[in-house]
Amino acid sequence: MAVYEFPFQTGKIALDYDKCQGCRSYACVKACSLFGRNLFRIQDGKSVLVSAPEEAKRLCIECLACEFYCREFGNKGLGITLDMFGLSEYRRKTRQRQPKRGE
Amino acid sequence: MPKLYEYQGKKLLRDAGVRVPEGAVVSSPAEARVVADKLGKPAVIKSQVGATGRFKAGGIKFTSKANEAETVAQELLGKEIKGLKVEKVLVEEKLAIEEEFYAGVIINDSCKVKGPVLMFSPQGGVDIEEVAAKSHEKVVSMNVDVLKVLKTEEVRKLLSGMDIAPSLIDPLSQTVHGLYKVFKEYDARSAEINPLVLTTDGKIYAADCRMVIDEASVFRHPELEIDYPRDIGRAPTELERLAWKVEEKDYRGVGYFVQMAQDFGPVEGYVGFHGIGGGGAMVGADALIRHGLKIANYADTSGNPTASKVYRVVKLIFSQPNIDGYTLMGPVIANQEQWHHAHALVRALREELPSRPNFPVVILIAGNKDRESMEVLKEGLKGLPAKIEIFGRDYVDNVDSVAERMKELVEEYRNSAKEGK
Repeated sequence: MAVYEFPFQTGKIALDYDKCQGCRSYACVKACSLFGRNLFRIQDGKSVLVSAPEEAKRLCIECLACEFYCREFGNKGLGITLDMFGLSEYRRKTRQRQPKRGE
Repeated sequence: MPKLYEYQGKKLLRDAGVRVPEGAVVSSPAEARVVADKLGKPAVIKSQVGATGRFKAGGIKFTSKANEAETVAQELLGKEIKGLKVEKVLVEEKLAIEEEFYAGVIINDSCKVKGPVLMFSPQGGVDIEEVAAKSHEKVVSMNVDVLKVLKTEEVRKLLSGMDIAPSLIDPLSQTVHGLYKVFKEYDARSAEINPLVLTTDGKIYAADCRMVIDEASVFRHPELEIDYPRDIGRAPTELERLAWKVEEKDYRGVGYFVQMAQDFGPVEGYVGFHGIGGGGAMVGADALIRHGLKIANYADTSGNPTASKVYRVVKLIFSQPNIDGYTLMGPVIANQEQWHHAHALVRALREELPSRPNFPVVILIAGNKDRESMEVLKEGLKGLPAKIEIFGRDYVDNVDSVAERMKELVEEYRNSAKEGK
């Protein structure tokens, strides 16, 4: 299984183990330990959930720290997808005009 | 907090055994005529808007014939009463009123109470606030223990001390008890019947009903069909509805967002405003306004929200077209861990700022773990093409200088945009 995915209350976390391979920072594990609920542990050189996914879903405080530290210090193998409750569609629909210099 | 319309509140009262006038809610003049025809007696046509003082504002009219009901409904539907558009009217039998009372249940947030207070006055009708303010003896109240079942006997005892005919004590007590049952069952913040009337034929009616539901309990009552529970005094925008979806089922902290202006053009000086903590946020917003900036929206993320919620609020702010800057004003030493804000901001700003060169971003953040948060922000926002300035706890009591800096950056941004740079 190259991608290990599990949900939290308002989104999901995906660990791409192909990218994680060779990462020895374990930044996601450390970040969750410091900012979150210590939901990860290291098993066979990979970050895995300490508890069952249903339990992790309940416990996760959605601090987003795992993703930030993975990007800063890890192999960018961890990604978070957040439910945006239709905001992306809204932005597409209203064709938001980004303020650009010169306009 | 979401307000129920009168007709909705009355339905709940009727279901709880409280007598309400016969009638129906309609949304067209033709329907009003049909209801008035069916009633076959003088009627009252009441605008259904979430505001008090409807009678004085011309939102309540009386008719004696069915065809008049149609004309009056035509006149009221679409009209604005206290800034709110009338989309429905309640057509009811006109009561022959002998006496007017007041009954209410309201949550008292005081640390000494922290629970519902039952109130009654033998002098109801318009200007009840004046009665309460000037004639304390005409209002009785009792704190209700929510862990116990309120008995009709307790209400009877409360009312017995008032200047009411003894024959009315029982029916009034039952009505007030019914009001409390509705209040509790629907997790209300307040429920009032004003006026609670005695008719000339000796019956007690709830002639009006005002109910405010606890925002945090809306999800428990889908039957109330409350789609937007914020009380903003106007219909919500599409973006505000989306903002509510962020909050709807996630009560971990607050993620409040409301638009203060819309349809403004580029470089008009509107900034996206994000505050932390109600009072602190207002201090920040006031400072920006004092320095001549215009606020596109008011947002607040406090009560220890999740980073995911903060991220979504920032994304909502940036979803407003033509803003000329973003500012996070946290001029308080917040007791929430601010690094959750920092992680959220980094994620959102990394997505938003690459396409906005020189966009002004001013962040004032203080509270638990604020120094660590500033490090996260500095590291995370490094290299972005925007004009980002971060202020810490030293500026909590000097919010004007932060606002002044925001003003300068916005002016620079606007001028360079106007010059086409």
